[in-house]
Amino acid sequence: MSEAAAQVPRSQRVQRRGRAALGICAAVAVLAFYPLILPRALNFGVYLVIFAAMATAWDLIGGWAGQLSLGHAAFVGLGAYTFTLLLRAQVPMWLALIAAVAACVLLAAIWGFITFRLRGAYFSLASIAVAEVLRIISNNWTSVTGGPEGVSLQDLPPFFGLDLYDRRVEFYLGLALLLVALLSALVVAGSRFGFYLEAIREDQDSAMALGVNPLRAKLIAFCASAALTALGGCLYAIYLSFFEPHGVYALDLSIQLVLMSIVGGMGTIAGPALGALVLLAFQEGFRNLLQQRSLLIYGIVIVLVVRYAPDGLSGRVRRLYRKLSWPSRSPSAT
Amino acid sequence: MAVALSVRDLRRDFGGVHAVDGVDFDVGQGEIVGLIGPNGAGKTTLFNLVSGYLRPTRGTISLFGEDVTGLSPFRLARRGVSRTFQVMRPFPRLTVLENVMVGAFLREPALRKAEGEAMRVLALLGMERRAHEPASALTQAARKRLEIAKALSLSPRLLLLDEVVSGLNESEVAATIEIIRRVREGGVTIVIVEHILKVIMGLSDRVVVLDHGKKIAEGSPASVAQDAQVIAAYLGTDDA
Repeated sequence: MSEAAAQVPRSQRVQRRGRAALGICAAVAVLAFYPLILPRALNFGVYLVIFAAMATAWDLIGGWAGQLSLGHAAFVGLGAYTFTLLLRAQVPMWLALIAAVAACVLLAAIWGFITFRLRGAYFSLASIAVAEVLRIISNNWTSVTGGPEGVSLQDLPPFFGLDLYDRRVEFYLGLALLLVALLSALVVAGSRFGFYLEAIREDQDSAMALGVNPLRAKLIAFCASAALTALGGCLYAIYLSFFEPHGVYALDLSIQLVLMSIVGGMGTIAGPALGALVLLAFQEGFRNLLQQRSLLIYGIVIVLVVRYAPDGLSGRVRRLYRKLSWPSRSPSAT
Repeated sequence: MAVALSVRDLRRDFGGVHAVDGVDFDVGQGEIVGLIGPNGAGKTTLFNLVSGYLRPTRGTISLFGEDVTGLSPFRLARRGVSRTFQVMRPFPRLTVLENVMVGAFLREPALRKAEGEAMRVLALLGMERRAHEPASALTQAARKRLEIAKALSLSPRLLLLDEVVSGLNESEVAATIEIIRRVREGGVTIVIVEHILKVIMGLSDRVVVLDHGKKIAEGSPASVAQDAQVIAAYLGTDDA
């Protein structure tokens, strides 16, 4: 490195990225042992990695770009249905995966092109409608989707020699997806594109004055988010092996992804995955006690987070880390 | 002298109101032109038209001989038009450095180079020590300076400054004037809207006066200050 470059003080965001990269490697390495350590809780593990990946994907558009989508279930459902219906039609699995991703990216492109002209709450409201429309279609187009009775994946062909009925295989595929999602967030965090998304989130008019094309940046982020969520939807379909429109297109599911990001920290690399871990662990821990009332737990966790870590758990962890590593050098700002 | 900005018969209506009503003027390359007029004269509307935030109802805007009428703000920014906002618009949760980097990325897509360029701009404004503070923590005066820093981060050819001096104390005003002069010495063409006439008169090579959306006078600061119509606009009918 040249001396001139060394003299430039790094932006905090970029400094953070190095630590985040290490953190991702460490977390994924630890999670890789999960099936060995908790073989009895594999169902939970699969669910966790899939949702952590989808929450991270949601955060690309929701947290970084600040476009609060309340309709990501559209991608989960469209991905799951496309994948499942094509498999049932004897299409090879790799092709079904690509088709599911392509369908969701196309949906995101059209949906984004129309609704990114709306700002703030209007975009969020429109996003609810998209998922609802898809839910109603799959509920009523019985000849194709099986309607309200749902659709099942009876026999899964082996995927590159792997048995997809094996929860361990599902876990590692989910973990791989989580890794891809986290790496996407890492790339965004340290690039011009990430700065542009944040500028749009903070003030779209001001961003335009600095040469940022907001529609283009939001569309790219939305399509990337859709592609990753679609893959999550395919894995979710395998995990469930039977699902119905109310399950995969549910508003609850969209909101769950949003809450994971809020709890963990929106617009952060590891926040949404951390939020997924915390929320799902609480939900699992109190499952027997509360049964269907798991949303109550979400409410309690959110109240606690808003009170004690308003910018999410990852911000809290970061401050704690800073306090522990440099107790004398407290930052002048914030 | 090459013409940097040329505005012809520019008009913008809001309902029945002609906010800008058939304005013509030119700005030569490297010039500082002051744009003055009483409240509601159409100064900010004119800025919004030139920077692409509003589409003109009629008329043309050209930049270095090229017709740019109706282009969107980010396309104009890429062609070298840069502006500040009268109501300051920092990216609150980004640091000062990161705020300026957003603009610097336009010419320097690589992260390190954009960072270096942003630091250079911050140094020009004497803000390098605050580089890592979040923009939301800045004082009013520092936010005004950040607005200028963001506008300069694009390496603009034409800089539109909308009331960057009002509300500052005397020493801050002097410092800002010094910065504007230095920017001009770097070859940047500047149009400045300002309420403090002393600043406009001292800084501008030429002054354009607007009233009720129309250009009522144009010329050297001294000649405009003597103009009967200008005096009437400022002292006559309005509450000013």
